[in-house]
Amino acid sequence: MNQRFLGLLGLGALFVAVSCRPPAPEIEPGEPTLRRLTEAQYVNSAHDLLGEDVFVPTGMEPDTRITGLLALGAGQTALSPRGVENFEAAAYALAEQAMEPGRAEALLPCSPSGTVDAACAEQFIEEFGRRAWRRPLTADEVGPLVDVATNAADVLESFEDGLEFAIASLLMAPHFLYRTELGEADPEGRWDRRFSGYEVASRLSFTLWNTTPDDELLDAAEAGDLDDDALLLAQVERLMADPRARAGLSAWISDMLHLADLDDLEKDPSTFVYVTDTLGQAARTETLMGFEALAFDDEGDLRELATSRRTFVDRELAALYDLSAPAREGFGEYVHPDESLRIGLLGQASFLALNSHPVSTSPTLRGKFLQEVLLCRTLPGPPADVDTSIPEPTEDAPTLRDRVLRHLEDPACAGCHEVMDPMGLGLENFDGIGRFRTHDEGALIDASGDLDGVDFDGPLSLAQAIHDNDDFAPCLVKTFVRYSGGRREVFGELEGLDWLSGEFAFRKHRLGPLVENLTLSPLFRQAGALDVDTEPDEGEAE
Amino acid sequence: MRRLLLLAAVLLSACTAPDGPPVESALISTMGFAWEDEEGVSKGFDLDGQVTLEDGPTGCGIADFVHPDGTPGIDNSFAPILPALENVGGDALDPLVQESINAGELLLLIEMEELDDVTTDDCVNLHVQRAIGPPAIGTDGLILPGQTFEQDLDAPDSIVECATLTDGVLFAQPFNMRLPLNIFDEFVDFEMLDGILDMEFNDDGTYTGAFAGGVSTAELIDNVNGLDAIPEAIPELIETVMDVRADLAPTAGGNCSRISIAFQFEGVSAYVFPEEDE
Repeated sequence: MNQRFLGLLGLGALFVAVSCRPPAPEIEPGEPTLRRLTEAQYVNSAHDLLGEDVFVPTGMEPDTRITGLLALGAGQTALSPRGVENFEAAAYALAEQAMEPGRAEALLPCSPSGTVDAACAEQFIEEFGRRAWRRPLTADEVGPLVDVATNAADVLESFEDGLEFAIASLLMAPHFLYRTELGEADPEGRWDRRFSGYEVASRLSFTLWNTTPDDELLDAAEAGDLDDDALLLAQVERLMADPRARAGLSAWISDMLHLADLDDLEKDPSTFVYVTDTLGQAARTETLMGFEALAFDDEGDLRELATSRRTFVDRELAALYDLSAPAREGFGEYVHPDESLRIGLLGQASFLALNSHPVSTSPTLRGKFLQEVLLCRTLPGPPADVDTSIPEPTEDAPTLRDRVLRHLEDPACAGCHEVMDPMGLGLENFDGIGRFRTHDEGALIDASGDLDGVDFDGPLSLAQAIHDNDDFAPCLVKTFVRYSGGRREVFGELEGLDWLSGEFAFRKHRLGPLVENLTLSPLFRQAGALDVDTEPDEGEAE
Repeated sequence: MRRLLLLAAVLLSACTAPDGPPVESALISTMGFAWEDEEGVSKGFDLDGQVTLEDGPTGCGIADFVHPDGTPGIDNSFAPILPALENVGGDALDPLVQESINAGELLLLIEMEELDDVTTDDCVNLHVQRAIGPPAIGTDGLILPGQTFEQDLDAPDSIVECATLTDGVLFAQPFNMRLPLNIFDEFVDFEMLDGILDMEFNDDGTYTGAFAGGVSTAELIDNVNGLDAIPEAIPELIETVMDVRADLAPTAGGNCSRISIAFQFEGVSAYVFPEEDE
């Protein structure tokens, strides 16, 4: 009885605690951006629309990273003439596959009565178009597409061949290639402008699944459900419970950590004997599987990305790390023992190899990445005419620590390198592709340093210092908001970001609550005016 | 200092089998015959405990070699045959062996159980067994250290109880092992009997060693005669030299029934997958 009473008391206390949380503050959102689908989003969307077995052309237009994220580049880079041609060719290639025997029957909602069947073509274009453009097509949009389909069918004497042209038109249209989430006047007066139900559906789907919305989400948008907090939350929960959320949100981590760059890993094979063509891909998989396990399986504290001893390795990575492979095929779970200096992201080949030179480690690159990506600090690049070369090892200065001291002795360099190099030097126990070492050029490695006044003596205490740093968790939040919104925050949103960070901390830094809090907040649903210029000063936004 | 670091590394990396003792494993990454370095000098071991002089009363009168470190009585009677084999076969022998290793056809795992210290240990149980490849090869063309291998449970293995470790050198005797060697694109079974293995733990985590033993001349001749794809002159050469080079296991008739063969090798650290439950 007493236990039951205490349980109820605890639940009551929890309810009071949760319900007493501060509401999301009012914000003044920045101008919405028009975002081109990233390559991954294009591929995922094409598969969702046409089937997993279609071949989706890639490499049409390279994704560009701006302010650290491809998601931001998607909203700021123009499409090249060559890219336009590539997308057009890709649209025709996809349309042709869509109307191949076997697949066409599955896609068509009706059986054409003959070579020319305008009604059936119209029904298909309306249904397929809604999914492709992530909103219903207007009559003015449907009509010309039906004309294209029926005229081509008449000439080519095939309903399906005619429909190919309509499908290609849909897939090369800006409405498909660009996410036109620009907002509308808020009919309920909650805010000046808001994202429409279809725009919220698109933002939700691309944020959580990295692909186009499914029919259920579009139906919810059509019914107005996404304007309602409770019904929106139900959709968020549905999307998060779907297996696609793992890959979808891994795309955020991949973007944040620049994991796509692992495809182009350049390492000197005479320096690093463990380099293979598959190392980059394996390293990316390790990092993303670790994220998925932490965020989804454990529903754990995302700061443990820096400190988790659990990881996932295949035989190749196990050999690189000099540990017993946990699985004969593919990846298996492995927990680094307490004695190991390999911990969290900072001990993974993905981070270590990406932030090194082709022939050596780079304390500067590693430190810069940690400062900019994990702590969201802005560091200026080196002056244009500065000599960035590091002296060759000598008897008096064998280790990289000895040699990068040059940066710190030069006042022109010291300002930034004092911030970057010590953190990077804390990881000198890992070589340029992440293999453990105790010596550099024959001398024992000194991996000590300090981060914001917190001393560390190597990778373990550095990882812990990052985990505990006041900027780490808010940086995760900020990056997620930027990734979701496709642009940098503006001054009028900073209070909202602070609130979201506070709630993230209150909810134990877990991904699920972060997603819920963001997607229900004005940061996700309130649209800024299209013509305002509210970019803050650099310092204010950072 | 380096010894201490190595010891720490071994203790850290030693994997503990479920309900079993700590195990340290090495994989032979390069291997070749022990050749006659210069006249009368070869690596190997004194397998019969005797120093045999040419035409002497022991060892069927086949003169023993002197080890490069000056140790007399080294039995490696196969060594002088190697140049002739290469001439007749038209190919270098050691690269063929190395090709087999890199291709995963000849992966030898040396598992050391109850290894408490990498400098001195008076009882280390040794288990030499085949592993299943292929191994990952580094950009230097050699097998990468630290890989995890599957045991080839169908292949013969070799167990030596209580091998000794002295000053960082493991010594195992008697050591019997059957290994198939690629000789001119055909595999020949060598069953080495009453052999010896030694292996030094190097500071960089690698191993250097040698093993040797006596191979039945009759069995060797039979095996070689059973091969189809080797040059015709090879079986004839083997049969001829076995008669005059056999130096171990004398019979009552005074002839020797085995020939001593020695190999040298280098090894790298490795791990072994636990046996799968049926």
